[in-house]
Amino acid sequence: MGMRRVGRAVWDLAVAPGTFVVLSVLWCLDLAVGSILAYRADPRFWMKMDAVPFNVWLREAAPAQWPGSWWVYGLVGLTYLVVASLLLCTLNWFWRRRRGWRGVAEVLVHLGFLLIFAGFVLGSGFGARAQGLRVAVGGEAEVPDTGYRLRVETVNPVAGPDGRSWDVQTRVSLWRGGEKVAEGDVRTNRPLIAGTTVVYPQGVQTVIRSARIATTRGSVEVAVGAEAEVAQGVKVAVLGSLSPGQRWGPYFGPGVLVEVRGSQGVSGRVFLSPGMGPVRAGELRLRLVDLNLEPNGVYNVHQDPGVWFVMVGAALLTLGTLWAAAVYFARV
Amino acid sequence: MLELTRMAHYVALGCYALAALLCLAGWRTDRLRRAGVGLAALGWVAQVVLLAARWGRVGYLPVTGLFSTLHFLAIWLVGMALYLGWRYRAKGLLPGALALGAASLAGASGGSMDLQPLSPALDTPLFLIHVATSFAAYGLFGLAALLGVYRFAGVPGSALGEERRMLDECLYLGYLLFTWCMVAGSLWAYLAWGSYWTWRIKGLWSTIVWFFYSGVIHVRHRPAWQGWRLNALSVAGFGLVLFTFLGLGLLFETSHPLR
Repeated sequence: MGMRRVGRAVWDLAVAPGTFVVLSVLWCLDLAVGSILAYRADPRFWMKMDAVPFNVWLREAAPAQWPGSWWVYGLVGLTYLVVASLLLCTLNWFWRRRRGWRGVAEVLVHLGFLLIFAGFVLGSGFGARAQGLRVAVGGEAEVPDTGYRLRVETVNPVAGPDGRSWDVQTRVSLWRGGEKVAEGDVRTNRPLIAGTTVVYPQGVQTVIRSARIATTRGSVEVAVGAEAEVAQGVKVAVLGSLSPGQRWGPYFGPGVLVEVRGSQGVSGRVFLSPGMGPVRAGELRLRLVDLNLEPNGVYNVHQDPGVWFVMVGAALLTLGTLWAAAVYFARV
Repeated sequence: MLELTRMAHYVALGCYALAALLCLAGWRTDRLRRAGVGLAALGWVAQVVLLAARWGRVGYLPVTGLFSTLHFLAIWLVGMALYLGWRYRAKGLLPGALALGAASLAGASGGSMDLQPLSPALDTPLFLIHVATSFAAYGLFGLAALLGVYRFAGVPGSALGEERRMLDECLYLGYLLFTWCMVAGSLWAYLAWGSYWTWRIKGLWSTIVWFFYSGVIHVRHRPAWQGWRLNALSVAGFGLVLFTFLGLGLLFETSHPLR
C-alpha cells in the first residue's frame, strides 16, 4: 500500500505541469547563460556547431572545449528531462484524463514536440554534413559519408525584379552507384531535396586553374600548384592563387603567387595580377598574360534521417495550435 | 518615398503621443478619450498606409531594419490595443499601449528609412509568415506585460473588469502566433541554411522565448500562479522578447541584424 502511494506521488510529480515549468526555466537559464558566454568567447561559435551533426560535435569538439562547453552538456541533460516530462504528461492524458475531445489540441502540440525531438536525435546520431564542397561546372565530386556523388551541370545567373543579376542558379544532380537519384535547379532558399539528403547552394566561386606568364626567356602556361621550365635549368612555379575577391595579406585576387627556381634553388618570388607591369623575380622579369578561370559551384550537402519526423512533428504542432486557436475563438 | 515615409512616421508618432495624453486625461471624460481613440486610429491608419506603400514599392514585406521592425511592432501593439479596447471597453489599456507604440516609433526614428531592395534570401513566402506572426506575437506579449504592470499597480484596464481575461488572451494568442513564427522560421532555416535547428544566437534566444511562454501557458490557470506571479511572468517575458529582438539585433552579430 505504501509503495503504491509513493509510486502515485512520483507519477503525479512527473506529470505535473509545474515539473515541466521548473525544468523549462532551468533549460532557459542554461541556454541563456551558456549562449552568451559562448558568444563572448567566439561570436561565430555556431559555425563550428552547425558544420557537423550535433552528436559528432558533442563527441569530438565538446570535450576539447571543456569547460567552455558545460552549458551544452547541461542543455542535453535538461532537454531529456523536459522531453520525459512531456512524454509522461501526454501518456497521462491518454490513460487517466481523456475526456472526449477536450485537450486534444494540447496533446497534438505535445506529440508534435516529441516527434521533433525524436527527429533531432535521429539526425544528430545518424546524419552527415559535407560543407563547402566545390565542384567545377561539368564536373562531379564525392559527397563524404553520404554514398552520393554530386554533379554540376550548368551555372546561370538569375535576374532580380529590377533586371539586374541577383542570384546564381546551378543545375545539379545526385548520383548513387552510377544511377541518377535526383536532379534540379538550386539557388538561395531552393535546395535540391532527395529524400533525407539535401543539396544547399553556397554560391559560385571562380577558381584559377592555370596562368599564362610571359618572362624574359619566353612564355609558359603553368597550372596552379605545378611548375614549368622556361629555359635550361630555370623553372617557374605557381605556388597558389587568389580567386576574384579573395584577399591574403597585402594581396588581392585575382592573381597568382609565382616562384622562380634556378639551378641554385629558389631565386625569387612574386605575386602577379592582371594589369601589372613586368616585375623582377630572381633572374627573370615576369608579367601575367592571362588567367584560366573556372567557375565552381560551392555546396553544402546535409543528410538527416530524422527530418521527416521533424516535418510531421511541425505539422502536428501547427495543427494543434490552429485547433487551439479555433477552440479559443469558438468559446469567446 | 522617403518623404512619404518621413511624413507618415511623424504623423503616426505625433498621433500616438497626443492620443496617449488625451486618453490619460480622459480617463473619466468620454469626450477627451474618444478624441484620443480617434487620433490613435488615425496614426494607425497612417502606419498601415505607409507599410502598404513601401510593400508595393519593393515587392516584399519591408520589415528588415530597425526603422521598419519597430514600426511593425507599433502597428501590432496599437492595433491589438484598439481591438481589445473596442471588445472589452478597455479604455484604461489605451494610454499605456499608445505610450508603448509612441516609444517604439521614437526608437524607429534612429534607424534608416531607406528601403532595401528584395534580396534572394528574403524571396520566400516563409519570410512573410515568419515576420508577421512574430511581430503580432510581440505586440500581444507587450500588451500582456502592460496588463501585468496595470495589475501590479491596481490600475483598472477595462471598464468591464476583464483585465485577467485580456491578459490570458494576450498570452495565449501571442503564444500560438509565436509558435507559428518558430515553425515558419525553422522551415525557412531548413531550406536556406541546411537545418531546422541552428546554433545561431538569435535562434537560441527565440527558442528561449518560446520555452518561457510555454511554461507561462502551462501555469496561467494554476491557482498558485495567479496574482503577482503571473503579472511578473508577463513582464519578464516581454523583457526577454525585447532583449531577443532589440538587444541581440543591436548589440550582437546575428542573423537578424538591426544596425
